[in-house]
Amino acid sequence: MPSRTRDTGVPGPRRVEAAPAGATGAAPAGLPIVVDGLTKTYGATAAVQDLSFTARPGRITGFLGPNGAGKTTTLRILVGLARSTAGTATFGGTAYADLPQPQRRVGCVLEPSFHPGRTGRNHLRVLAATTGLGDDRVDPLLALVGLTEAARRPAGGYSLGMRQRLALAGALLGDPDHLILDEPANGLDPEGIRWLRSFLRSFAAQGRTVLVSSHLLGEVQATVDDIVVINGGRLLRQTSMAGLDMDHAASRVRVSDPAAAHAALTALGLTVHLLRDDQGDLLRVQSGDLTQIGTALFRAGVPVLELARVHQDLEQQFFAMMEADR
Amino acid sequence: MTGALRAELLKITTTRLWWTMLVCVLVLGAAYAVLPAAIALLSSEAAGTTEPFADPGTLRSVYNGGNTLTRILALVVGIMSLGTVYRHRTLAGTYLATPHRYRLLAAKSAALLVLGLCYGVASVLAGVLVAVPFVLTQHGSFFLDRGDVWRSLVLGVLAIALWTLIGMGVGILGRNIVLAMLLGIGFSYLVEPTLSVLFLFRGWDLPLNLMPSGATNAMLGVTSPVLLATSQPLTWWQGALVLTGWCVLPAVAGALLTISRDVD
Repeated sequence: MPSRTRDTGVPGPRRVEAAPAGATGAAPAGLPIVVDGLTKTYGATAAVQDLSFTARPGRITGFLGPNGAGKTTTLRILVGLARSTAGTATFGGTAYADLPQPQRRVGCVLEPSFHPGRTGRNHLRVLAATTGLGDDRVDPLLALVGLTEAARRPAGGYSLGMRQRLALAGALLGDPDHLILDEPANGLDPEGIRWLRSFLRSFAAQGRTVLVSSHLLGEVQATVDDIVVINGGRLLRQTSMAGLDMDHAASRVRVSDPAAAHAALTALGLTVHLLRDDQGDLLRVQSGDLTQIGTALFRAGVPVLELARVHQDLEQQFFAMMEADR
Repeated sequence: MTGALRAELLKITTTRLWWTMLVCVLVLGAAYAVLPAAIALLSSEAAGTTEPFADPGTLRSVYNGGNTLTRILALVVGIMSLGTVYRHRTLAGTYLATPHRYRLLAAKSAALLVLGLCYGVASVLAGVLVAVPFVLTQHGSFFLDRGDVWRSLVLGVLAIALWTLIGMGVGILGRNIVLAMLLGIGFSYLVEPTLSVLFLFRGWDLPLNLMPSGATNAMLGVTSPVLLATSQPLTWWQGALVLTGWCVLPAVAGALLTISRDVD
């Protein structure tokens, strides 16, 4: 049994003493979320087609795609709310419904819906009762998501952001190893999004698995480690953010002799475009490896005036990926 | 399982419906129980007899006098228990907490049975409280030493509980609170009385006894044609069985049709 850190800031039902600093994240505790050959059809329409991907423990996986791409359908099948037509979606091979006490393994925030007459606190008490947890876990969670003041008011009067927070508190009640969030940024203010980001970061750092869906890459860009991009129910891409960055990395090079530089860099097998801006000639190189570019130009005897990574707009890349798929 | 049951009970007690309905059951149940008591009093005065509350049958009808109305309230609570789940789209969250759907259904039924028994006690209690001034002022008897009176009290409680479960079945089948309400209330206030009148005038005792109200009358020992009861009722346990059938039928049909559906 690998040691695990379980600290969401609230006492957990199976809380294990925190591992010493530095050991955090070394031993993944959660199971991967494995989607394998998943297909879901409604009549003649396929919402999800032969979709396979893995969300690994200790990492935050962004599940991306435009609205209607099949993200929510996939998540609903994963947590047993819908049945797949073919294929499986499991937690390390075990379906949600077959997990003993699933709420203690998987926290899930789908579209937040509550009985409008029940207070936020009582909503959590109901969930705690189902999971066999005591009410003593409820108040710290309400404090964690910043709902202490509204806790005794009926949930019907909550704003969308407050509902998201309440749903998150409900998902965390069982101190799960897996967290699944469907468009969690909906209704959250920038402060809430920043908070959620750092929360997910520490959650995943404890070796747990986070799968978060979004229709905007930019929204999760700073949060996620890996991305799974789907469109029309099919997988377009599964990659780490670092990998995506490398794939689409580019550098800007300004030299006194663009032609010589172009020759030197294309000799390395790099794609180089000759551009012009208001300051004169400019090279755009499809590589983020500044050392390689700089060294090559030095060896070619081309004085370098400017050499920098081009800031990549991932959102643009994301849309480009969708366009290419069309 | 115990967790799911505790959660379902907590769901009931953390919203207003249960106690507002409880107040309704007590108040309206009492109001309805005054009717048979008043009728007994007036008819005895008309007949010139002196002891209108010296007959155990009269007392039984007062004790369960609220039943005709409180069973409808119980039905409504049963429908609401499922209807609110569909209306407020909380089914997904409920299934996430308890992914075994039949286990969830069992927990919900058990919790509603407990609630229904509470309403049953309230309904009968209202009848007993109404009987008190009538019996005391008219020098009658409560007949609480008689087995048949006690049986009628207990079955009065049970009948209300069963009507709550009928409501739950209708709620499952309806899958929509408005539709389920129309189905439940429409059947109780329109379809069933119409059919019962038809059966009563044709002298068709069996179909009349197989109606939910007919079965309830049999349980409570009601034989008055005013309440559309046949003169040849089933025995109390047959009535209880028929009424249980009315709980099971819509619930099973609803469960088979809807339980494995995808939740959106």
